[in-house]
Amino acid sequence: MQEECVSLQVCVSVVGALECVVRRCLGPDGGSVLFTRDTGETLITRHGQRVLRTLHLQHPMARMVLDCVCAHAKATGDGTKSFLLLLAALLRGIQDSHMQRKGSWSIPSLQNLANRLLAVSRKELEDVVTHKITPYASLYCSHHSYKLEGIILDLSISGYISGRVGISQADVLKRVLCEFYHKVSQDQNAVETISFIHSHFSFLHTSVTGLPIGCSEVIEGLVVTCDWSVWTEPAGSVKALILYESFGASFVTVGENISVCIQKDYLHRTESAMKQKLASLLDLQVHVVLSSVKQPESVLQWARLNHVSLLECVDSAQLDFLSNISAAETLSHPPLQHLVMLKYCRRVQLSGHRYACLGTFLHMHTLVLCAPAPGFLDQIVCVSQGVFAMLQHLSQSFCQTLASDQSQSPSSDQSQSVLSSQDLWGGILRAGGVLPVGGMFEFLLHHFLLNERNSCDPESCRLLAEALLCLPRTLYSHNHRRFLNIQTRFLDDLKQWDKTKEQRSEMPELKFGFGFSESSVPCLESVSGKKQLVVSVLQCLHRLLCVGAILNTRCPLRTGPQTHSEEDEDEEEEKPKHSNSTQSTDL
Amino acid sequence: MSRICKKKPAVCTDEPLSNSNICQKMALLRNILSTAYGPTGRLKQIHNNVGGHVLTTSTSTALLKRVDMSEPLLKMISTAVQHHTACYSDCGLFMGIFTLRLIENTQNNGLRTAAAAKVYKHLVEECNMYLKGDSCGCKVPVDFSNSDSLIALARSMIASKPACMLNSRETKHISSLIAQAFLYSIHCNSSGVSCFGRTVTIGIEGQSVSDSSVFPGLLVDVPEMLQHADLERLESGLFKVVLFSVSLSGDISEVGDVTLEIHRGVDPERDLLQQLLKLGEQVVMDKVNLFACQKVVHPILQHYLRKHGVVVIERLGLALMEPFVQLTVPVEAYGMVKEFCLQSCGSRELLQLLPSKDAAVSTMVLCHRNETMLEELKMTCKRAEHVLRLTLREPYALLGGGCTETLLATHITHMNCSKASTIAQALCISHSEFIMAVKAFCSSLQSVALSLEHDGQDCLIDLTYAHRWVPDIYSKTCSCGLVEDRSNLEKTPLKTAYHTFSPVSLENTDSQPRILDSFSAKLNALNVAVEMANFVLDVKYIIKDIN
Repeated sequence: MQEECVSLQVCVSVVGALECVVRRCLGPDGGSVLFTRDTGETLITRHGQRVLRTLHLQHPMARMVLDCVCAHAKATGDGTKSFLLLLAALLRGIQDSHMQRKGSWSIPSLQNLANRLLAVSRKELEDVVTHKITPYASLYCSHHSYKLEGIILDLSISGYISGRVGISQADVLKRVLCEFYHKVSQDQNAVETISFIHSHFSFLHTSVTGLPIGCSEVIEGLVVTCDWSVWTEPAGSVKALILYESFGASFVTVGENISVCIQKDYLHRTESAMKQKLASLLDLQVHVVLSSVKQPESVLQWARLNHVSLLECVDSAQLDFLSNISAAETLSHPPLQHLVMLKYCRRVQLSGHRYACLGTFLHMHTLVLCAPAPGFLDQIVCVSQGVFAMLQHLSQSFCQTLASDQSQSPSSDQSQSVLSSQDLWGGILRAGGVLPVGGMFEFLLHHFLLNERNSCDPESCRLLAEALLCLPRTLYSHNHRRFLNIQTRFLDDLKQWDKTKEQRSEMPELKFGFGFSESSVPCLESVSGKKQLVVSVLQCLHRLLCVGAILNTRCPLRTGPQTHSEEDEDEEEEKPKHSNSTQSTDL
Repeated sequence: MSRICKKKPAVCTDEPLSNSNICQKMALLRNILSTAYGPTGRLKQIHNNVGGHVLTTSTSTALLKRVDMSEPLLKMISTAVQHHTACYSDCGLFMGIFTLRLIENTQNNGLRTAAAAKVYKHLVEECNMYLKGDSCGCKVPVDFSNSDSLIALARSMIASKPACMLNSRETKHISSLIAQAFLYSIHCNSSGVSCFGRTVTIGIEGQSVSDSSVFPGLLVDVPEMLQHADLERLESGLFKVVLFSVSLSGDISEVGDVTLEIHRGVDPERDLLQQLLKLGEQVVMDKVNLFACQKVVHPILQHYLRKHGVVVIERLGLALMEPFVQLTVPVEAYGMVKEFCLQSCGSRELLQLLPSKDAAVSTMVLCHRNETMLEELKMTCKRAEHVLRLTLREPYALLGGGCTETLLATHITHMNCSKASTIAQALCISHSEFIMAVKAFCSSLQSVALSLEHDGQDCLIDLTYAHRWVPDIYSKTCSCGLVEDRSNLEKTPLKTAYHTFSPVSLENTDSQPRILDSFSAKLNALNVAVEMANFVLDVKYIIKDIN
């Protein structure tokens, strides 16, 4: 009996310790975590997943939780901190109810509870989200559509970043990210644009230190972080050659034991070989050479004399990207050479450094992110990347629902491929895909779960509902009265909503989100992401509760990432593990 | 077999800013920076216990580069200051002091960081608006039609670097040299996009500062074998120049570190030399007068060229390559030089090359008594020239001597106290939080102005123009020299309680400010400092990996 109690307690303390770290970073009023290594690396972040990864977790339970968190974050790109908070609250809730019952939780009953909670996530949660929350969100958004239309993207982005960078930086970052998205998309297919930015983000941004974040901007063209070795201002569009090897290399270094045999008139031969190569370039009418390696001095001089611009030491991955997006023509004779057409070539100056800027025919833009010091820059870059991961999840989950709707009603032949930016965001808005941030989802779910009449498991629903409130509570931890205020106001709103639904009268003003942030428009977050969060947490909880004992072995386990072995550790808050009671009950 | 080391758990610090140890270290850094601030700043000597070089300096760049911080938060601030000075060359100390003061004041007032961050952001935007606006009282336009304001800008910059060890006469001399070098570096016929010319700095040790001067064109070491007669033989007029960046030593260097197998009867060295001599013949045939090379030239080639009356300069070095190209303006293969002459600068004799066309290349020869001071002087001059260049982008300068800080603080207090409740509501914070944050911000600004004083004298602020004053019987003006003292000007010590007022801007005055600060640099420093303070205040948890 005692062992099982310890197991629940261990879970509570392990997850509690993790929660303690991340709860300081939650929401716009939260702070960040500074992480340093002895090597001098510093990292500032509010990103839940990054914080957890840097902790070097030792406890097997903790690492299992981390695995779950990462899996969730990979899917939605959001919600790692809320994940832990919710998990901890659920575990505490279970523990409390256990206290009240005076120790009636046995392992089977815990398992049973876990299974029941999982069942709730499959049935009741699904029901509530589809039939209650989504209509509410849709109604809410349509009610405020005059305020939300057109800026829903901005609002989703600021909802995402407000919890990840300081308040003072969020505005600027949001502005520049929106500008970036709009400039790249140019009214093209919105879903494709987002996944394009998401997957090629590393080539589409450049980072600059020493300037305030406010100096971040969007530059037309592709910025390459090196300067032209030879620069002549080309007029208009030009043909560019992409090279991956040195022109002068007469032999390739194979290994250490190379010997060179110098024959008569070798000077003439190497010279004429090079001349031939260069002459062939002029035949191709190439005016720009982009090389991933350093070129010999003679090539530079040749370029100067022939008014060819030359860029050396470009990251080869970036060159690959360039040749991919601009439909490069691969030359047949010398391998690894591509020809691309560039719209223009420029030189740009960013904080004292000169960089090359290449204009492609596809409307390519580069996001220039500035920060005072490298550690912060890292944070900004990471957040910006995360924004597009979140947007991708949002847009794809919308497309999925759209596709499933279409399969049900074959009459509508609206294909997904012609979804413009306006269609996509408007569609998400109408479909109730987003809700204001700041605990609205949690309040709604809490309310509906408690009042679910045809639920077969009211106890589990109540447990989940109570635990959900921990999120808004932490969000307003600095001002508890505010939390109560908001909750009361929200409940009033909801009652009125129910009443009007019955009477089918004019909709009342749903003030909720608006009075809430006290600025005119609230930020938004994705409903599907939130639902996924609750599901992931319940799955993780299921895994945690089904563990009966931990076995410490001394031989390495190679079965997979889910199994954990750990030698005896000296963590402060942990109870020692039982070593011999084999009761693995993971079913 | 390697042992697998167990990883140690990371060391965590919760709420680092309420940790007394960290606060102490922060105060120490602030103390180091603020005692080094300004013309009367105290010098800092940095040396290693093991021995080695001793550095005397008061500049933030030199100081922070060499002081290793153990505390990650301080390291962040230090890096940010260094990145700022790398871009703007000035106001590093200002930024450091202001950041640290702002953090300290926020902590002391017990402000909630999220609220403080919002207010600071709002205030810095207000500062930006005021400083960039037309009604700004602490900004003067830089007048390019005469050199006074340029010299004043350069002088304030040099004067605030006491480690240069210059007296007032020398300061004046050097600042006019800097202005001169700056003017040389601007192309006269700037049509469209033009880039700056080059100023090459040469340092000569053991000479008096007054021997420093600026020469148009490029000064290079006189080649060993060049005789006066050789120069005299050259007729006046344009001289043809050829410049090589590859080595002409005749080594087979490109092959690298491999075994060479050479066929019988083949002599690669001889082949190469023959090739070089062929080149020499071509050069002589094309009537080239000056043969320059970045690297080594084969002695036989050198001899051949000299025999044909060509002046050879070898081992120019990479640093001189670009100015050399700019100077000679090469067309096809050859460039031109108008004149050669020998210049003696102090103890050294140098060969001066004058540009044929309008090329903005000049050489600044700086002399100082010893190496340390010379290093500091060279660095300072380079930065001062950069600061002057920044005026072309934004042709303004700010009042120096702490007057900008006092004026700005007064303006911000005045602007925000009247509208406190509306702004606080818009920012979603309480009224008292807002008032306190404004106070913390303004008092941090005033602290920077106070840091200029190191001799225990009082700092005063007048209650009309909000300029900074130092009680001095000889001086009749405020710190920057714009406002003249009169009997009915009410003054009070800085950081004492006084009623808020809107600073009166001075109109129709003949007096010119004596001390000017760079506009762009200070504006960026102010912004970055607030951002840094916000970042640091935001840190709620430190995780230190000690593996």
